[in-house]
Amino acid sequence: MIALHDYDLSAEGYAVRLFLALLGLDYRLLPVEFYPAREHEGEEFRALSPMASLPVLVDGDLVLTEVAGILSYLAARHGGADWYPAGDAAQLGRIGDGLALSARLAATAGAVRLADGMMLPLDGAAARAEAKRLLRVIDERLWFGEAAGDDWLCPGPRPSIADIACFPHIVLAEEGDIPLIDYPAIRRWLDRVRRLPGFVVMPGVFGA
Amino acid sequence: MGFKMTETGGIDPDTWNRWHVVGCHDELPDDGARATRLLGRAITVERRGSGAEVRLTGGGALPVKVAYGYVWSSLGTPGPLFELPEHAEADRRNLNGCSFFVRTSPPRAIENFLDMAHFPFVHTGILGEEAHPDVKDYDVAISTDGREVVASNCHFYQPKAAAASTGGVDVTYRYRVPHPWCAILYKDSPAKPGRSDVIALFVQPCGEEEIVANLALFILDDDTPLPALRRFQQQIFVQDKPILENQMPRRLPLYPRADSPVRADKASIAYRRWLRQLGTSFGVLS
Amino acid sequence: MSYHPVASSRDLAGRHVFQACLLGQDIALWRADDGTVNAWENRCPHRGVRLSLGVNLGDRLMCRYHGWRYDSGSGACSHIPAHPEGPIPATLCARRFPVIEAGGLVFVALGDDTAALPTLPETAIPLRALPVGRPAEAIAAALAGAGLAAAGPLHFAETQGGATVHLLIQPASGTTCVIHGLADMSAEALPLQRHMSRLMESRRRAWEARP
Repeated sequence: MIALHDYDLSAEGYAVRLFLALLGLDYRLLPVEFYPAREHEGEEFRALSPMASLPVLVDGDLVLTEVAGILSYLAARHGGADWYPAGDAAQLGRIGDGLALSARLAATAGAVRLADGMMLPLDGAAARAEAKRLLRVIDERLWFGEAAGDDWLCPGPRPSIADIACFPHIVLAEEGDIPLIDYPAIRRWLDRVRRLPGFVVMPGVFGA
Repeated sequence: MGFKMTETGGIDPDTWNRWHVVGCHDELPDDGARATRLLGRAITVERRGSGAEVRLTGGGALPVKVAYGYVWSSLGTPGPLFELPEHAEADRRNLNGCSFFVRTSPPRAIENFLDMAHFPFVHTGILGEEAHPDVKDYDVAISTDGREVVASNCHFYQPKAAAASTGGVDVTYRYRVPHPWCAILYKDSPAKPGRSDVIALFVQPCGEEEIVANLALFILDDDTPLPALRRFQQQIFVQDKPILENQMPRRLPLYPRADSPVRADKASIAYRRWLRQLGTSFGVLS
Repeated sequence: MSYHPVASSRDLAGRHVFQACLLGQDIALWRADDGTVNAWENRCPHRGVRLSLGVNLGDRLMCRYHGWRYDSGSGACSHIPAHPEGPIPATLCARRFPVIEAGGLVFVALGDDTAALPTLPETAIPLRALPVGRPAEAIAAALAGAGLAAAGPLHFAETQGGATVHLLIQPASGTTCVIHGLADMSAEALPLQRHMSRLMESRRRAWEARP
């Protein structure tokens, strides 16, 4: 069975838990206390995840320590053509772009959310300014997507793992004092993600 | 006498002269001071063995007290801190459940802690469920000496009342509010029938719209590992965070007809009345 | 009080709650399944939680905090889960603002509802609205300075891609505004919408770069 080393309040971890739920996969959750114990920085956890990052997915001999890798693996292994368009090079490229975008969101909106709530050191103003720039770009993309009849970050009739990877950082952005009022297309997209069959919440996120 | 609001930067005398929590003693850094805020002032908090030192940043030392696992300080001349005798009971485990920064006023956090009606909607599947939303009548009073608000005979159905719970139960709650920004919950212990787990919310008033919420546990549970106890409290508290940060105005309105209370809000009504009696102006709208 | 644009009709998607800010007033906007558009003060009368955090149930809006439900149209509270037997005070009601849908935009007035709407083109296609981190007056001055024709204090027009484009400025907070665009055209709008989005983004960068 898949094992997930994770912290309940981790947005990256939530992306993986959400995707596992959408795929209907069972898994074993192994809680790691990020705050306040910083268990992820302990020697035991570093042996598993040298970057000391959460979450970590273990499936047999395979150990994955980044959200992009974990979601890509789960999509390719369990998602079928709906989640992994194997023959569509352009779409795979777009999904890769979307995963990289989620990493930028993690480093800005995600970081300022954690630093704020848990009182960790960070240049919050710089992180918020960069997050705002990203959100403006995403909002424009989603607005024109809607105009073309597309509901998701990448063109096409179905959500991709890019949506799943970006959703947690955006839906939780207000915890880091990044209001979403200026991104109406993003706010509609959040509703669409919430309505995906199998959607699950995490603390701080409401359902549909 | 002769308290002058001008000398306190407009802070009311009750707030100025109280002890306020400024950190969990065990979680202070091993080396150096932690920078934080108290009533809008920058302060530093440093551990000194079993004691602590609190200073205004770039200024003098402030009164300090270590009690119930936390460091308390004051900008004025504080009297005694409220009593929490359960802290000294030998069979309890005392720990900091979680500390989170929240953009809200201190009294909004307390009022939320006293509220049962939100359990089915905000703590769905844990402290409540939508099939059992009704709040039965309960008792609430300001003590005759005016020193605390007490709500008792509170009954609510909870699917998972505590980290150690194995199924849904009708729990009985009692609340004490012995300090404008500290509230204490007495809740049926799943492990020791007939006795209560004690869960306290100690709010650090960083500013009028900025707090650190500390959830303190004094519980009768020898078995659940510490990380699991903290995990349960963190999950619950972070579910409240978006609610608290989306309450407008952020300061608690004390003027008439600001909100629309119903029977379930009796504790809130008494709490607001008590704040008016105390003359609290910090974090409220009068 | 006059009507100001706060959203496009398309912004009010089914079962969605749109959040707007007009002259510092936070507003929850939502369309019921029967098409009714509701513009309410964005706070639950019970404990002040933003209703834009809530759930559009199709005919009622549910607050996230305690599950109180408010009827489309009247704004009346019709369900308090903590007291399923009631009674619900008759005065318990979401605070409503006058709202009109016209020309593909949604207009809200904070005061009485006798104010006139701006004169709008007969065949109008909404452009992507652009929030700007500058006050409405500063943006009006910048548009006037750029030579756009003023049709009102917060209403400008220019020709782009062969069509007349109307720009209507929504004063949001004291320091921010939102520019709503309407293109007077009936043909395929997407190329113009894209062109205007790029142009307005570029203008916004310039406006926000100035102190």
